[in-house]
Amino acid sequence: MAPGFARIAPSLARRRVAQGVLAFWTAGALTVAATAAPRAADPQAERTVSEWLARMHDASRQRSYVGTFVVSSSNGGMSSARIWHACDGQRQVERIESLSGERRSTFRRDEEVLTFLPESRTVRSEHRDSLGVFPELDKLDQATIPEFYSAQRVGSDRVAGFETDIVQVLPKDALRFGYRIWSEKRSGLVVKLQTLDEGGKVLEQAAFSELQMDAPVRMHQLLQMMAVPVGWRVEKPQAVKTTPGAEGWALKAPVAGFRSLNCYKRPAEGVLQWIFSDGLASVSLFIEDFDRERHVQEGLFASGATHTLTRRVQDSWVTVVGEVPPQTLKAFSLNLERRR
Amino acid sequence: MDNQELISALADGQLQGEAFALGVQAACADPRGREAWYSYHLVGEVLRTGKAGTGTAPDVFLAKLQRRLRDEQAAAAPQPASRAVVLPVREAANDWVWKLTAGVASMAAVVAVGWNVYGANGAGTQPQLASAQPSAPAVLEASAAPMIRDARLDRLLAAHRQLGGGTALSTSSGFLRNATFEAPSR
Repeated sequence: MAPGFARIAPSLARRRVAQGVLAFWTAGALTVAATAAPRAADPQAERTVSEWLARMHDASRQRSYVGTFVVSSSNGGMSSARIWHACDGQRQVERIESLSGERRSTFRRDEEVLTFLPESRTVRSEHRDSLGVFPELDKLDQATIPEFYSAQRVGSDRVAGFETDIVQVLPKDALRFGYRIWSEKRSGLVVKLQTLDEGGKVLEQAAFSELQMDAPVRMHQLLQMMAVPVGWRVEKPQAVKTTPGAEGWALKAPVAGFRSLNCYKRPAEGVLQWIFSDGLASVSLFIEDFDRERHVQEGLFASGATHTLTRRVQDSWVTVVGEVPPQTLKAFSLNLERRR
Repeated sequence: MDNQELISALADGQLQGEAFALGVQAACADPRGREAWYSYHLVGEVLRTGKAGTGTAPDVFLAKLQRRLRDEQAAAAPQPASRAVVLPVREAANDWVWKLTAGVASMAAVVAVGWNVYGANGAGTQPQLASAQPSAPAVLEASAAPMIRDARLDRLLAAHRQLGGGTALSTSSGFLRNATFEAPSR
């Protein structure tokens, strides 16, 4: 209890004081929940990490909304986009119009993603398998997420005009980051998300600065906008599904909590991409032939919550990327070995 | 439409069919056409992004450099002319040594400019080294020299965002985060 509580304490201290009695009640409820994990009378206090995540996921399938989304990282980067999200309980269509950086519009129909780049009159067409894996993740969720993360409701807050529950999802070991999630009280929709390092420092923050729930977003209108204009070039990144075994790669020992999800050959980049997930964070291992000219600098660097490590492994060059702490990337690179 | 207008319209992607063919012809016809084609792209880029990432067209740059080198050589040449003995050697040198020198100098200049452009880009987008962050544990033998974030690494990061999002939060906030944050690989 103590470390988890220490992490939330600084940022919530002022609010706690202001909330007075409510704060005292919250702290009390948390202590009870942590020591004996009883089924408290308040339904919000007893949700498990899986239940919270399922609720957040369902909200994005059930609710339509329009809003402005802002992402900022600890090293000063900030981006924003206008979001339109429509769904009918089965299908989801989303439009994301960038408001910062290069002009681009991204459309998503379930797993199909089109990114329109007007400056180069190019459309990037991608199929993101990972967006469809939640049914499968349900299983992973049951088995893995509660083993490596715990969730606690740590208070309430108002974000983008909505009352929210603040849910703290903290890792149980040092191989993953923690999250602080603001979940809209009635629907469960995620309206704000922070990625926290082991000291509780915010590495990255994503939030709606303005949100209109149950907005009249017409799905067919968004679908019509996905038509590729005449004269635009369509780019399809090539990724051929394979297995690490078939490519001659294996991990000497698994990295705790991370399960191999997929493996692709990317001919354009000349690399193999092996993807792992622990249910909340994902890691990509990129493996290519070692090139004395280009691959000179082994090292590590960070951009927001995304960390990258490069290392030579036998006659190959490995780049490990993920929203995880450096030691997790190191564990992957040390365990990777060529089998043939 | 005169040739310049044609090239401008071509650079903006406004031409179709026969006009397109004419535009391509105008842009390829002579050095002036090629220079115009290049300049319109540069102007477009500056208007869009506020900075010029492409620099001067290589042949224009080299032509200018060689012209300047020739001028300097012409200015320097008369001085030793008073020493009759040296003159024939200087004359001979003008034929090929200067050409060679100019060639080597051009190459060196191109390499230097290229190096600067590369360095400047690297510095502009260079992310924080984790070793500089107090919160990062010192578990890695991260070198003290900053790692230059190159286009290739950006592509790998994009590939990670594209296929690596298999998490419980990807349908709610994960995808929005990636699409908002994403810098498209150019």
